[in-house]
Amino acid sequence: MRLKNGVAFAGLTLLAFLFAGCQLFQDETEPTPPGQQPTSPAEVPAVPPEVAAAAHEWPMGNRDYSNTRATMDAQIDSTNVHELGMAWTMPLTAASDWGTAASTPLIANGIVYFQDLMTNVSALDLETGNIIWQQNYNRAALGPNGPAIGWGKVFIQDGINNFIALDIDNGEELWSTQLEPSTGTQQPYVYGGYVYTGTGAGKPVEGPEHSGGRQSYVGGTSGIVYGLDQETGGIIWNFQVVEEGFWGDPDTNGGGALWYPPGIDTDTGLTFWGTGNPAPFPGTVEQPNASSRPGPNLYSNTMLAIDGSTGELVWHNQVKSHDLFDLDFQGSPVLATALIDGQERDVVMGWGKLGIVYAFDRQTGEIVWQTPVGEHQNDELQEIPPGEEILVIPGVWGGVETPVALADSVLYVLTNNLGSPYTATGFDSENAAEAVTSSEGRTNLQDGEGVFVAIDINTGDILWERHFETPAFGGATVVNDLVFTATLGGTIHALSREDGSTVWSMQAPGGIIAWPAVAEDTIVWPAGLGREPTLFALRLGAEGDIVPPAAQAEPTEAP
Amino acid sequence: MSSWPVSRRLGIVLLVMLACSMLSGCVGEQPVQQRIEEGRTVFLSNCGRCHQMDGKGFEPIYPNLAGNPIVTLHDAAPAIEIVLNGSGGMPGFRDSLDPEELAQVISYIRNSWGNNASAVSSTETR
Repeated sequence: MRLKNGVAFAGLTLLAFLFAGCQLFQDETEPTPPGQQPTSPAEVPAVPPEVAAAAHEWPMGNRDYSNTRATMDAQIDSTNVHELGMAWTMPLTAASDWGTAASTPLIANGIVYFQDLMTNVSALDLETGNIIWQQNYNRAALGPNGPAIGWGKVFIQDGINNFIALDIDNGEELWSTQLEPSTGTQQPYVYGGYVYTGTGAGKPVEGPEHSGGRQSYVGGTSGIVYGLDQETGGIIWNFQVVEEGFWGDPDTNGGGALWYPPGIDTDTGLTFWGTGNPAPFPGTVEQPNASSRPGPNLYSNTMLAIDGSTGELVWHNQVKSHDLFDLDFQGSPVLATALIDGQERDVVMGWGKLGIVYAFDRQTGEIVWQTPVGEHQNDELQEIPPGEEILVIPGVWGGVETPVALADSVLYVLTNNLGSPYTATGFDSENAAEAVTSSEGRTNLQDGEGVFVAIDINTGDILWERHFETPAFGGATVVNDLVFTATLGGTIHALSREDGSTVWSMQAPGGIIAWPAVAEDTIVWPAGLGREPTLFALRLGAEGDIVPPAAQAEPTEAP
Repeated sequence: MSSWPVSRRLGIVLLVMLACSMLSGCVGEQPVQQRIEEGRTVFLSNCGRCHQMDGKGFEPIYPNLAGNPIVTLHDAAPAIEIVLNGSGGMPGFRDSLDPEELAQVISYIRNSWGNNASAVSSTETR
């Protein structure tokens, strides 16, 4: 399904509009939810002083409001990457469903801010790894999570349904706001006195010690986008992703989770959000093949452009209508100016588990180009024949799961050729949560392979691909002329941005489903899986030993 | 309609309960084979995505359970300890599964993919 020429691209774009259910709308107004009075936060510098002062470091989850995950300020490049050594390590002990870490740490003003998957937050000295303060909640979170900083605070979601602000100097809790329906699955962004955060679709698990965790996709739960007052935690506005009425069956349907930070256009104040899948998927015994949720299931699998001051939905474009297979469009939107047919055009790019990267016109939401990445099989089906078991690629962990990076008009994307089996009833599941685990448990990791793709954002054309022998969830992080990624087993690759060949590699202390922060001569990366999960710092000239990888995959030819 | 006195009927009920208790090893405990079979469902929902349904996991991060010496030890205590309290990047399941479910899944792990070790009871997983 890869696009190899402009004709195919144009044809597929047209087909997508006509048949695939792409729904582009300019939204006039969105009513303010009952009980919420629009207000404004107290006036503060739009870009928090801590973030502005650390612009050369890594002060936000994806480094900046455009979500580039790229630094040209660091000292590491292809000429010296071989000089990286282990500077310090911190053992990680708090494990949840997905290990101990699934986020990007921050680096600001020489301090590392890190959140583990039990909601615990640490501030560490970048130079030594010494702990400056810790705030431990021990509330299990699904992730991806992670902190934001600004205006003297560290902002986090916990693993239940709370949003919390800590004092940046000592970690003491300043305020906590209860959100709906569940938290622990998104790294917030802050701008203009607002905290922007989104929730998951699920119900917190109640336990005697309130230890966190959740049941996924409980009927009547939707991801909700929030604009909070950074000073008080007050909810200024919110936007529920799933339409009112839950597509006709609130006892069964849910979804539209928010999984990653938004993109923020600081010129217009627009915030951009990629949304998650609808549920149940594909269905249950009582309601097979998503029969509980007829129609497109707005606003699942959609790019949302939301006014950051009011919460008004300015435009939306659903890229996967009535999704049957957990094919989220969950990624952090990436903002850039592309040269489209010789004309400069502001675009916002979206990505997700559906395994297709889209560029939209930032003002109108019109699709500028779309590029499938990795293998696709049965993912366009709208019905599974009764009694049949089919393999769908991308599967529940396939497609683009983890953050992309942008530099010099090239988008770097890590996807996975990893399928999942499905039946119309979710292997005779009784509810949406059971249907999820039914497919997850049957997904064979040994069959998967990671594929790293470079895309020209002016055309949507694929420049090169690099295949790995195993699944990979290490995202993409550009550092000068290198782009870093990691396999699930914890092999870190510094790839040449020219052709995807490995310039340098190493074996991390644990498996990786998290992403690094880079500043000056140092890379801080969580490896949260396996027997010895660790947060570690690589530094040019550091004397700690680097473990070489067991084996390296050979690069493939460019398409 | 029974003509037996109440005390005699009560005695018979108690005898039956005692016999059941002796046969199963514990009042209310499932037969071993049923416990193992139901453990498969618990495994699928809670363990399969990492350790995989063939038990082979994804080394080095998700250990292979098939033939794993810790899993198949005569003494089930180390396996119970790991499942209840976690290890490394693996979470503990003490809070999310009840003692019966824990006994089912540990019994399943110890008796699948060629493993052949004793089942465990819910009294061992409390």
